[in-house]
Amino acid sequence: MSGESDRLDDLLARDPYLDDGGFTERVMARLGPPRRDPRPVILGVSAAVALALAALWLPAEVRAALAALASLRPALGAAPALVLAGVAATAALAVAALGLVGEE
Amino acid sequence: MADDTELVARVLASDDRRAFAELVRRHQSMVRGLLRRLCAGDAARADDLAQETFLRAYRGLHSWRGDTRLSTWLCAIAFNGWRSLARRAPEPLPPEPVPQRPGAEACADRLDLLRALATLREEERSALALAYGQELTHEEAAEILRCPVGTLKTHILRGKEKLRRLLLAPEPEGAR
Repeated sequence: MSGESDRLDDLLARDPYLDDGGFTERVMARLGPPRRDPRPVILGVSAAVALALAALWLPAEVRAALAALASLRPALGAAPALVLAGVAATAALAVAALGLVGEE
Repeated sequence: MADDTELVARVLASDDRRAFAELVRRHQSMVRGLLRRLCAGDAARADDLAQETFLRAYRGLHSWRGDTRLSTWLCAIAFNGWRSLARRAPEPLPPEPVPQRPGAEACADRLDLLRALATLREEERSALALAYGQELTHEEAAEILRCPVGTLKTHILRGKEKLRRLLLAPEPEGAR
């Protein structure tokens, strides 16, 4: 009886290693495309919103400069603020673009 | 070599597919072995369920808190998947009757065991599949089965008694 019990225990405990045989590849194929990192998109949208808000609330002279820029007339008095706003916007968009490129 | 916790952290942080593939490679034999026992040797059905197990694990990886081993967590997902499928679509009967040959080869013994498992009640088969060969403690197996350890041991004893009668009974005289 004890011998029989040992044999059954041995049979139950023995679970041979199963070779992968492409199993992992099949699972990975069913996972779908990798998840996109949302951070660059969030950064880009935030930069655009920040620019829009800044354009609404900037001092009057800067708004005048932006309006002049829109009508392609130079507004020399507001040039430093305009350059600063342009640099800030370019930097924000560049960071967002770099993030998107890095994700690829 | 990175441990399971580190690989899981990489998957969660940046959807690292190589890390997840390593987890699948590492645990596939254990999950497929468990499911083959639960599916009584139906390898195709077991492998389908094993794939589903890893897909569910991937989707729910954030819910693994590391307080249990990853292998135990995967066993629980595999077992729950098998149980819900078994309730929806009953398993086919084992392809051949269980032969009663005490002197069989190891491989034949294994096939006999898988077929014999099909004749057990669901809770007996589950208890034996989880408690043997998966490196689970009785406490872990009982937690997966959602029953007390004493109940698990009762199912194991009853299941083994039936298997002993099926697999180890002496060949009747004049059978040859």
